[in-house]
Amino acid sequence: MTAGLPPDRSGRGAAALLAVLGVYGVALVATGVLSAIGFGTGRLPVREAAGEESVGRPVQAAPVVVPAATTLPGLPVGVATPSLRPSALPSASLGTDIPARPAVFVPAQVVLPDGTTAPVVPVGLHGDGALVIPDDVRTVGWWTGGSKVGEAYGSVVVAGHVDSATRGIGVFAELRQLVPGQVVTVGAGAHQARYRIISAMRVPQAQISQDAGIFAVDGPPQLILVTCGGAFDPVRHRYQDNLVVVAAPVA
Amino acid sequence: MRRGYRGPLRGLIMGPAALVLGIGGALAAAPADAAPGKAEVYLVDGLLGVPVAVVLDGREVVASAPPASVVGPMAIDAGPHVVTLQAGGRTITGARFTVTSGQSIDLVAHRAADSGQVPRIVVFRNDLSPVGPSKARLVVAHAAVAPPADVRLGGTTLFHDVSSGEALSLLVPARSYSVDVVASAGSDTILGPVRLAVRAGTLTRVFAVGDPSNGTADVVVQVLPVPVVGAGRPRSVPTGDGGQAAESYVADGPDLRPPAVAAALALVLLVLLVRGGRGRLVRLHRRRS
Repeated sequence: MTAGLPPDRSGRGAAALLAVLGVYGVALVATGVLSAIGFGTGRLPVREAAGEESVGRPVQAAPVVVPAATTLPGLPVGVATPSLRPSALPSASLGTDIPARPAVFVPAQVVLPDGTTAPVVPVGLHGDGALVIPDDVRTVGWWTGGSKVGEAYGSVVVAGHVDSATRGIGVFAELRQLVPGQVVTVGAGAHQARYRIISAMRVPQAQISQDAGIFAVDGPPQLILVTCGGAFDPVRHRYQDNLVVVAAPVA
Repeated sequence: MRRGYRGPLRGLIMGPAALVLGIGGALAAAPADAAPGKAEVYLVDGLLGVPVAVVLDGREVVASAPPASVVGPMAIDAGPHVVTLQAGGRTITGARFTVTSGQSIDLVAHRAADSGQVPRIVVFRNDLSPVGPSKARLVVAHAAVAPPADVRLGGTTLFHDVSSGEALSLLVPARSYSVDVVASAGSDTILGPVRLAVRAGTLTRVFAVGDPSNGTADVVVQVLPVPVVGAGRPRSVPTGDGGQAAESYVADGPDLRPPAVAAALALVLLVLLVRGGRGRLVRLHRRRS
């Protein structure tokens, strides 16, 4: 292929045009009208747009790209004639938005290596800055400030209870059994993504917010599973640590 | 964010220089969505020839848009419209298009592979849906006279096999990227690398235009604000307050919780047994057996 739109894609585009946006009609054939009216070359002196019509200031051509556009060969220019009526113009073709590969989605469930499955709901922060953890210990939360599954960068953070004073042991108590190499699957509807565990670590609860990697917006894509771990403090009703499991996307 | 109609043109012209300078300065805030019954239209001039007049529904809205510029937003009624681009009183190209209420679209004028053909106008929809904190939606659209291409960010190929007339979208962290476009077959450079500054809370659209075979490859960058939705970074992740799953305990202060009480009783019992001597232990065993 040397240049331009391959014929098959052109046909596909036209089909999508008709099917999806019928309003664009069938006037692509009217292109012939423009072709028939002849071409020349022409160049206008640059005029500044005035007053209300101003669209901002022109920007100089960048040194990193191409020489000034005015040095380019002239374009074919159709001669305007009274015959160039709006109805004779072709419909604009519809650009194709290619679906992201892989799909980008908010996780709706997580499946741990032993088959344990937990629903996932989006969660934000409490007033004190603590991440909201679903009360139901069988449900876990996806941090809305992080990446969605399938994004090219950053952490997808899912946190859940190891236990609760009122609801008992949580589904993420299972995280303590996970070892590197095992696969965790997250999904939503027809979407599914697999991550391979690369590490599991304990982080003092008071320091988890300082760990740049766990809540990274930038950096490589990863799945972060968080629950509590370490020694339990029965006076303060809290664990000393967070257990953090890090997993990387399986290609 | 609904600010309504703000005049026919209040926008930006951004050429490649924006890539070098950083996009911030030249950007005028545009409404994130159109007023009821209205749509917003931008014209992206990828013809790279002469300055053009933009004529919308028979009315000249811009007398002279420089090559590689973005004109808009133009607030128009939902329904069918006609746009033509003219130079020297002659029509270079034109097209009919239809918008729906609330839509934001780009009309991208670009050259056809055959220089004898009338340049095309392609419609791309602007996805103004929210992005996460510190993120942007980066769209790369192929409107160049070139074969299918790969788009690379920082040397990593993130868009594969994009054909002319196609666009791909990524959610990316806000920062500066090195962008280049190479042919999917072989590795001929179509464009770049160029520096692209991507700001948080924006839809940043990069249009690859021109014809690399005659040295006219260029990019047009368009930046539109989008809402930011998502929580900030947590200060803590409190995921356990019961202790039922605990395997060890913090040993300070009195403890009256059931697992700890049980542990304490067991300890007391153990101490008593040890003090009572081996004989008592043996007797206990004998009783059980």
